[in-house]
Amino acid sequence: MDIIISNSSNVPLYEQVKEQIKNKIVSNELKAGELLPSIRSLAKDLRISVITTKNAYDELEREGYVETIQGKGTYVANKNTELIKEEQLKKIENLIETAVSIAKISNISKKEVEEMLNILYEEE
Amino acid sequence: MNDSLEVKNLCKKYSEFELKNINLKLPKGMIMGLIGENGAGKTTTIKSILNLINIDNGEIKIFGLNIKENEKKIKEDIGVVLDDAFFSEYLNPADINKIMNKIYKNWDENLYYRYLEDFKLPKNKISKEFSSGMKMKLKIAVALSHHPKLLILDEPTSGLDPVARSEILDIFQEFIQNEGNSIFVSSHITSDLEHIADYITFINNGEIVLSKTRDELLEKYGIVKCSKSEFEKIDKNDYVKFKVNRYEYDVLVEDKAKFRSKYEFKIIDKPTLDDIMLIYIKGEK
Amino acid sequence: MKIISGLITKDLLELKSYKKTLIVYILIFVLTGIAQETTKGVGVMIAVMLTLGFGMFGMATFNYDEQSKTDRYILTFPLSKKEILISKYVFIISSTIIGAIVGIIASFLIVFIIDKQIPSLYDYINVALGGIFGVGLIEAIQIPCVYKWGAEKGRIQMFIVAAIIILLVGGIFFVGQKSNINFPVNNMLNIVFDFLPAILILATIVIFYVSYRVSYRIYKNKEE
Repeated sequence: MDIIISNSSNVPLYEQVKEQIKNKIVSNELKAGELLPSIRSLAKDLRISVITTKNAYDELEREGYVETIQGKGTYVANKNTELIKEEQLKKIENLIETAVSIAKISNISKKEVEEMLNILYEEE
Repeated sequence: MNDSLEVKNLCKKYSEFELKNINLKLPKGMIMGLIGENGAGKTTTIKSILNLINIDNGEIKIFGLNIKENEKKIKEDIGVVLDDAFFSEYLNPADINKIMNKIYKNWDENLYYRYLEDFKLPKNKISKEFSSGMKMKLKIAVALSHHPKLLILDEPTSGLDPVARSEILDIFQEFIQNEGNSIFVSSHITSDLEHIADYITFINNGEIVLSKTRDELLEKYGIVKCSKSEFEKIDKNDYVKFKVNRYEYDVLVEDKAKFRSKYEFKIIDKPTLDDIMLIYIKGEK
Repeated sequence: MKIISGLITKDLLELKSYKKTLIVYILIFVLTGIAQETTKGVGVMIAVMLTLGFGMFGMATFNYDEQSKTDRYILTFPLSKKEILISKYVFIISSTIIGAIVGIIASFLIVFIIDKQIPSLYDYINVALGGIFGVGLIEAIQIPCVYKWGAEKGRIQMFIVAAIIILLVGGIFFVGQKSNINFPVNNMLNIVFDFLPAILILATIVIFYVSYRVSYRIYKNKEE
């Protein structure tokens, strides 16, 4: 599992860890029921403090991505697909909102934006 | 007992220096970094914790027990590395094993030799011939080999090259893989502690300036960079301290998100411990 | 007990690296002894000088501890200041006694080689006890001084005291041999002489006990 920490980034360390684990869960790289590394060993491997790692895990748990079983460890939660989808949709909506507002300001038509979207989709 | 170490209202007065009302708490399983300038009181604090000096006031508790009343019992379970005090340089690591075998009930000869091997330290060479990094690793190996639950280290990384410092940080993180273990470490090289320390305690002029978790300090605090006229618009209650540079004002704020919601400043940097220290020491309010 | 033996082990191991210096010291002392004019003088001097040499050797561990601040370091171990003090006293007294024994054996051999006859054992026991008492007196004064002012200053004092004693002892023997003076209070001295071993042993114990108490007082409140 790759987790890349940037020290120069303005994003807090615990958030970097959280986001990357979250992305791996969303993309199914980490599967439901899979055991995550213990807080202490992950802290050691990433060269970050225990509290930072714990903060990341706590937030993941709060958001329902992982579950901690006392004395056993932290597991990837049984995915609430609806919840994740909803969250992803919300993110997309936000980004499109920005795109649309830029388009409106600069008089770019809906058609042109749609075209762009289509091209971007096909590039995949 | 959830705190490995607790210092309450510690006072110690010398003719030219004074520790004023030191308070700190190190929860079990955590690393606390004690940072500050040379002469700020780091070593005196550590000496007080270890009962090497007679404190004027206050109480030191280790594993929930008062150090004065339970000194021997506590010291069986702590490993100590002092800045400059150790065995004679004419002793070799094997000699030290012979001595420590008789000093600590829990001395683990096998563990000690395993550390020597891991750290690539020759058993039969006197430590006078070691590099400073090797000497420090020897001190740490000795401090670790009786299965302590708390490590107390005074400036373990000073004078070492980056490679040796990094190796020592690895040793620390390995040590706290056991969640019953804790580390109290002083350093004036703040970058070493910036990532791995869970708690940062900053001492200046014999006083604790702040003692917080690393995340609270480094992720929440911010440094606002602005011009004089911009600075004048900031409410005095909204910043900690500021420092006037040649072309800009550096303003330390406790919660950069909160600050951002109130003011419109373009540049709010994530501070390093050095930045925070510098503004605290040199800055004004 | 185990901790005290650990501390003594430390002192012994520290001296391991001091071997060469020790041999040089002892040679100088032995040579000082051999330089005496009469065989008896040679015997006595060698015995006393070796006692002094070994005793100083024991004291030298203070310098090692001070140089590397070991005295501060060992206070982080699970032990009491009392145990540290006891270990030092045991170590220094033992090294002095060992010095006396080595001294007696050496002087026995040397005198035997020179005179080709076995010297009187009784004389030698007195000389050894006298040596231990004399050297012990220096140490008993020295140890509290080291705890009070540190080994560095203590060492300078030690050399001064040692030099004075050497000159005095040497001088008395020299004058005694040259002038053949008979002490007028011979009878009284004879009585003292009959009890000499007991008196010396007792006196040595008393001075070390007093020294230990004084050292403890100083050390107890000392800050490292």
